[in-house]
Amino acid sequence: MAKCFLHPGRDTVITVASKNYCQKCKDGQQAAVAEVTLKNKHVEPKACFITFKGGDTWLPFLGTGCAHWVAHQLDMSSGAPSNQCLEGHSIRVPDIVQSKQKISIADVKVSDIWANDALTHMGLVSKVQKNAAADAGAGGGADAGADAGTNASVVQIQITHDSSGQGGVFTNDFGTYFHGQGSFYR
Amino acid sequence: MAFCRSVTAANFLFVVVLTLGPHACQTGTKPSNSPPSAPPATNLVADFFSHADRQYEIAGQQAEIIRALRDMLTKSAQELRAQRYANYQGDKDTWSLTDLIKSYFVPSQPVTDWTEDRFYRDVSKPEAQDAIRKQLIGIQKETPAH
Repeated sequence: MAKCFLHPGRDTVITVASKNYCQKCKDGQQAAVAEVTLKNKHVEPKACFITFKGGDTWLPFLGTGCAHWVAHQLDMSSGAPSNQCLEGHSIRVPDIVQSKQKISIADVKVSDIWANDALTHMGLVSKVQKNAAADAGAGGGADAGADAGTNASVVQIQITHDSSGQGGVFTNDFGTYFHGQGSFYR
Repeated sequence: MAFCRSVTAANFLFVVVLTLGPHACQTGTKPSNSPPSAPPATNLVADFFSHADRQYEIAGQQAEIIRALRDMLTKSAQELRAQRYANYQGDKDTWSLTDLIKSYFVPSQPVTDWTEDRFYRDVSKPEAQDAIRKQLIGIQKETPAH
């Protein structure tokens, strides 16, 4: 029988992200997830925002869930293993942007990463609206989305983000809610 | 002969003490009953803030983090234990100081042996105050996302 990834003397009862865990790990994980649900309700997904602390102890990660949500959407696993969730995704903003290139606002497309200048918060571009007149030659419309021509002038960008302030995953306007601040990465 | 041997032994010990003494002074160590191989105790607060990034979103959250950092530089441990701060949504007097820290700071390396007692014991020590001051300087330069 397969053994626990962390406790080789114990039998496996659950497998997460190709790693086997014993009953005590499963119990510890469930207790930590319950704490995430209680204290960190904005975090999505909640079931993996936990970390092993040694012995039989599992705890929620410290900090907000913005980077963790982006990492799940893009299936990113950059950064140290200790800074990755139970499913192996990053939880820190710098770990996500460090492997990406900055892009100009004129090149922004759906699913690009946005982060504020201080790298304290991040999200994903979920909608790009370009100037219809400028975009006419590129074959796009007023709501061109991911296939918009790159020469068109951007008139509106929407960012979907895991928001601690609003208590979950929300979509807000880049120009008004985020004051047009920050950079885009791909 | 026995007298000579004891005098020689006493001289040897005297030389050993003289030889080892200056090393103790050079390293700044104080006489201690603890075993010489015991590792130096690390300051939990200094270690945490030296390896932690801030993750927050809105101006109200930033203001509350700044208030907490200032409190750690000015208030006693007893006063800090009694302080309460607004939570993520701005509900006042909801979080303790350590709740706030755990909610907004993301360490880049695992934090070991965090206990409330250890946190409040270490927070006023010079190395912790230096690390807190650096966090305060950093966050005051930042523009929140919203």
